[in-house]
Amino acid sequence: MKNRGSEIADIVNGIKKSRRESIARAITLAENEETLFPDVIKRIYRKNMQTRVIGITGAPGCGKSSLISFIGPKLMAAGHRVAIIAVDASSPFTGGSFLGNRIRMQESLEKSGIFMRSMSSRGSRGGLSMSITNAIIVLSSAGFDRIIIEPVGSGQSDTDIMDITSTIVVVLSPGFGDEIQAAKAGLMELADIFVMNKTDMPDVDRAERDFRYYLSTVPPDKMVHEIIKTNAISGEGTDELVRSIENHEKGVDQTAFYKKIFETEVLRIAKDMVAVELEEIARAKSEWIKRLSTSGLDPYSAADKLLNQINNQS
Amino acid sequence: MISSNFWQKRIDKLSESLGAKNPTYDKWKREVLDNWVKHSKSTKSLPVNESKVVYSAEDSAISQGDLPGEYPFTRGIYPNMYRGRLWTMRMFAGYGTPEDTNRRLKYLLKHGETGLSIAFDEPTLYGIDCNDERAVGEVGRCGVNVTTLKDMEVLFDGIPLDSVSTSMTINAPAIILFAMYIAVAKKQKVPVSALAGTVQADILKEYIAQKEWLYPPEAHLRMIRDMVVFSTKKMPRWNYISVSGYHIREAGATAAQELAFTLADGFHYIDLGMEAGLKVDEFAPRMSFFFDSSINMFEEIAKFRAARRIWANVLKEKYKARDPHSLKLRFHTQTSGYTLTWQQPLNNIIRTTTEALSAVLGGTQSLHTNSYDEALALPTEEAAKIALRTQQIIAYETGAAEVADPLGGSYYLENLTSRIELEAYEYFDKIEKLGGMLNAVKEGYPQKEIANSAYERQQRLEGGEDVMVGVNAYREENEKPINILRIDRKPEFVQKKRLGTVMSRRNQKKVNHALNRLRSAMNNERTNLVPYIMDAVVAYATLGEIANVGKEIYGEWKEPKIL
Amino acid sequence: MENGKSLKFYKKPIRVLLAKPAIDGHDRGIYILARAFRDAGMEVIYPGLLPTPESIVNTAIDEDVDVIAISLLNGAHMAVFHKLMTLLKKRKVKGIAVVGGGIIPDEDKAKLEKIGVSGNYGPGTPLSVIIEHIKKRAEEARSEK
Repeated sequence: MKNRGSEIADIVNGIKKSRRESIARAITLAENEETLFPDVIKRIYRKNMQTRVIGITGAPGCGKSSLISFIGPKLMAAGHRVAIIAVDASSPFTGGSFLGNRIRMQESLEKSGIFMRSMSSRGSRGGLSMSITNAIIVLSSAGFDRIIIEPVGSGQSDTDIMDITSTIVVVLSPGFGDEIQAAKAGLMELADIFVMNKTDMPDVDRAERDFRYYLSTVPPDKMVHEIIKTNAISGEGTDELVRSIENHEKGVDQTAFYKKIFETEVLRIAKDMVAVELEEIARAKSEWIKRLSTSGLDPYSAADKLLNQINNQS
Repeated sequence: MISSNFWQKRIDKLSESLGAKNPTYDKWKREVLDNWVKHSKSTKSLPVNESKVVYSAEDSAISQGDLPGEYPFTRGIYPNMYRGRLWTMRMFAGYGTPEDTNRRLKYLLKHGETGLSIAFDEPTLYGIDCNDERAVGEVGRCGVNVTTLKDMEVLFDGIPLDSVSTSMTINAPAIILFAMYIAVAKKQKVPVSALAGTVQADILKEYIAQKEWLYPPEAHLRMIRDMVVFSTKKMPRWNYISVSGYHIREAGATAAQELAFTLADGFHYIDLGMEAGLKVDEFAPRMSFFFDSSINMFEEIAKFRAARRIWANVLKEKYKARDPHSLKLRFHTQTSGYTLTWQQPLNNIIRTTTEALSAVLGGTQSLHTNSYDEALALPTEEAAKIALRTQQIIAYETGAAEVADPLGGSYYLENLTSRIELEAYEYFDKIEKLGGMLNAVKEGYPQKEIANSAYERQQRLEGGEDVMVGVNAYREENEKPINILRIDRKPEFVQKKRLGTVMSRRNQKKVNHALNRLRSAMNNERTNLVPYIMDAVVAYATLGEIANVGKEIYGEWKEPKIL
Repeated sequence: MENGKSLKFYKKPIRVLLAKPAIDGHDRGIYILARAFRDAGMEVIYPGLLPTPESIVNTAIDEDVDVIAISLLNGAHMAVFHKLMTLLKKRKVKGIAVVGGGIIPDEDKAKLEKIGVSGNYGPGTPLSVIIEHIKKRAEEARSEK
């Protein structure tokens, strides 16, 4: 029988000493929402942590991981303690996931000693679960002051990232039609910095032109935006990107940021859970719903009926 | 740039003829087959992939009435095929120290092999020296270790390079071993123009399947270009590349994918040579290929025939090659390693035999047969000998070599040849839409196709739809262990010692000078690197030292997301 | 309420680090295993080709995996697996099980079990057998944590 108290103490002490096993363990506790975790959080959480969280998002294949493998070490060289959280999608059918973001970063991680954790979205609609926010808190408490988040990269659902990051970088890659997808997904308003990656492809200039056109359609009171050109294979442009990130961070109010995390996060997760539970109910009542859909009722009346059913359930 | 109609025209033509009605078969099916099936048994657990029970004349109406030795070479690239020239019996060999492999090469030559084929160990394949910490435990384990020119000299000691043709299975550092081979020839006073052989060098298939690369694609392609140009100008008997499908197949591709991705790679290398300023007829004749021969006989024979037909057609119609030699696809074949089982290993002799037969019936120019113990380890001498004898029995006893394309005209085979040809054209079309093979590789397209096929195959095996005797059928408990080749750590010590001696005796200034000159040459895109690498090799610079010059300049490459 | 895809469904999946600590690019088996493990509900961490034993251990710790699944085809398993187990001991790692696979002669399997590497499945082993074994070892590992 494990001794709860000593286990918590071990982890807490380890985190204070920045021991990687303890940090890793605490993140697992956060992910699995184990009962130990709140006790751990209570003991490690500090006000006014100087952590900045940088989100790097973009369509799959646009070069996010490769860019991070340059940005991470450069931030370290500038005196920060850097950690990376890379998120991949969980299969809604099996609950499993393939967390392959280390493939492109492993060498850089080994050389620099940067801490990286691969996490899965675990059913969260927005692709970022509460456990990621908790992981950020663990990492902050352990002394990491720059945390890079690489979300799933499915575009639309990456809007969650806004709630937990201080700076959002959107990476586009010419030739994928990303520019247009980004415009559609609302990433235009979201981004603080745009990156156009793979500058060795011939149509990057045309893509940039197209993109500036789309940018011009965003109302001027929404911040931004420089477009930084990078080559994620050679690293060209990444110095400029890091500078741009640091400049942006200067404009972010740290205390307000943490407040936002907790308030917004709680609300978002609550809504998320409600939506999932409702879906569960719908699944449980699938036969009944099937009958409803063939009953000839219009959608609104059908919805009313469903709501009544649910209210009667609870 | 081809017009997008090029592939589509061929796809449409083949689809039309393959889709033509077959009234004879339909009538027979109604009147004879269906009745029979209703009242008779059906064989349990026979894997069935073909929808038709039998093929007839109408199915092969598309057969072009070809003859061997003439365009489009479906039936063979030489008019009299093996009567004029038997395929080369070229057994892949290599393990331990250069002395060990030298002995094995001589053994195989003594027992009748007609061409050499060298297997290198992992450190060598990755351009890593035998004293590197990553090489620990790997030196000499799955091939021979070569770290400096000295190793190469020992490897070919007593083997005059003008009396053999040598195939070297080396890719990422191919240009370095190519230079070493030439250097050994020079020491033997053999003129470069007399050298016959090949380096595999096919880097595209590394990105796709075998995954043994050093640098980003453009760097390797530049080195291949340099070898193409060098050997085209100076080495009339040298195949500068062996465009490979074997590894692609072994990684899990289907026969059609193997065919399509290999030829697409070949097209890319033709583009490469032409961009370097060569005329297609100058260098296309010396491009060679390397295919797998797997266990489904007819599919494999069809694949080989389709490969020749497609290559001839595309080289003629797209690349405007005029020299018939440019249109002849020459290939080496290896029987499939994946199909061998560690369970009941002697069964593998039968598998290798049918696979070898398929390659011969498919018109291969050169053949390696696997040994029965290779699912467990590198082959013992005894097992390698049996594999060689397999080829000799096929050649001299079975009559399979007597007549060119003996299965040509078989309704089934002609139909299958056209079907696989069609599948290949569909892939070429897809690849072109992705911007060509290099782009497709960078995006992970062929890699994903292969991973999917591999997974599907695994599912079929586990579900019993595919059968492997001894594995998921006819299993035996308590298998008797067989004698296998064990490689110990001795080669590591021998090689390190030799490396130490070489480094202490060489002229360090000369080495540094050569490496510096190589570095400058690498930075100039238009320089041919072969002479610079030769200088480094001859000064006894190590494989790792030379490979690292490239690492500094070109950096490394990580594969795209596949899953 | 029937058992369905509630958030609870996603709790505590087994985390597996899949690695091939050799200078060897053949990864057909790795991708098949990765997919099979994912389809069995596990979180599969794959760091790419050419990892060293050190980087495997570091990754396993940072990712707090339950199981390290290593595969070797090149005959160097005794040396490499031994190095891995030594490193794990040195870092005083608790709660991570090590499962082996690849081309491993029977005589060596017993020796590997002794140093803590279980399974050691060869080609042709049904995926379900491998998955069951990993689940079993993961349970054991978690009770140690």
